[in-house]
Amino acid sequence: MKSNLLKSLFNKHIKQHLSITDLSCKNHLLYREVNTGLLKGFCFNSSGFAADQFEIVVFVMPLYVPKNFLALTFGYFLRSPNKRQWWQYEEGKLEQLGQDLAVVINQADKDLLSKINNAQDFYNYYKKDRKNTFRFFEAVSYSSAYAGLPDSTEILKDCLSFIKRKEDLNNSYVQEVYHNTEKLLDGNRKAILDEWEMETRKALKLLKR
Amino acid sequence: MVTVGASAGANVVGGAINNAVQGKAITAKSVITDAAVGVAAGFGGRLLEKTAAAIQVARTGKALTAIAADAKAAVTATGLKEGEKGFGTAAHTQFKSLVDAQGLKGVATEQSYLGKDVAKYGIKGSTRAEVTLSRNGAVSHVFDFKTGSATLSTKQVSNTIKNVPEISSSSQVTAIR
Repeated sequence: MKSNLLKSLFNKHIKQHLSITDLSCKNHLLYREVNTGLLKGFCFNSSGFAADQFEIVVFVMPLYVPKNFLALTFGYFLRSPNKRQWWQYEEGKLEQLGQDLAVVINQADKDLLSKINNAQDFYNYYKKDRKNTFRFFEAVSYSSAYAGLPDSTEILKDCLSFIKRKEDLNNSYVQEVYHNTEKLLDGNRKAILDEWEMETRKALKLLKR
Repeated sequence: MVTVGASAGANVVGGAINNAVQGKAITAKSVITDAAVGVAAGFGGRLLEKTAAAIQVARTGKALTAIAADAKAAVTATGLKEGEKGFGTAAHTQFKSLVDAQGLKGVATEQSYLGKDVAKYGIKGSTRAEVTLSRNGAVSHVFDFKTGSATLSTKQVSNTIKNVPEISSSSQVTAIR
């Protein structure tokens, strides 16, 4: 779906059905302006095979975890009323589409977004899943540091142990997380995380704060 | 003992996937029977989980192989022949649509990944996995539909391993025909 179509769909057919009032629309995103280190929202991904199909992913992205792209790891796609991953954009059925999208957006807000409002919420929500992958452990441990939790040093050390035990340190992405985590353990965590947050915001063109 | 157990588990897992991909008549029941040998030998929960995961991969591989055949047949019915220009694109579109319609458990299509993160579609350097199978919230296998003489290239497999979380071996990437 082209971004101008999303903008039009959002303004004309979705917005009025939402229980959330502070969503902004930009490119392929519906998102909340952030001032807590988190970007929360909905990403509309187009299908590479059919121009009129798209999926919608609800996500939370901790901006203090350094990234130069929009990461959707902490989220899930929202199924259409007929339980499909891919939604159909049809010119003649936009009002119905808008209503259906609003239903799943409202539900996802209730189920996920409203529960995670800051780094500590993020930590609490995902800590049980931290061993899923090193990306989970990375985000959970950095959230503990960003929130200033007293046991963040231990959690960061656990992250390093997890990576050493489970991951391939020849993978450049794994190496980067390992070194970043060491940097956090050795340095001024708040300053480093703030710097990473600014870099991520810059990469995502989300500089308004 | 550990070596034997790991080997037995790996054989069950690998065998189930291979059979599914090759379209052999191995059933979930037979995989369970194979696995039971390992369990009886004293290898508990981990092997059971591996076996359950292998069964899921095998079932999904089998279902996708059937869908691939349907997709190709639907395109052939329009007059295009496999190998001809346009066949691959049409078959992939049909395949994706059929996979989506089936709603197979744990299956998603066209997911993009970069650096072991799920990524927004179209990010430079990302890998777009045609079909991913997830188990307990983590990707366990990637399937890629191929038509004509197309094959899974070494580069495609290594990019998948580099970018898709929890995919660490070429045995977790399978071509579907």
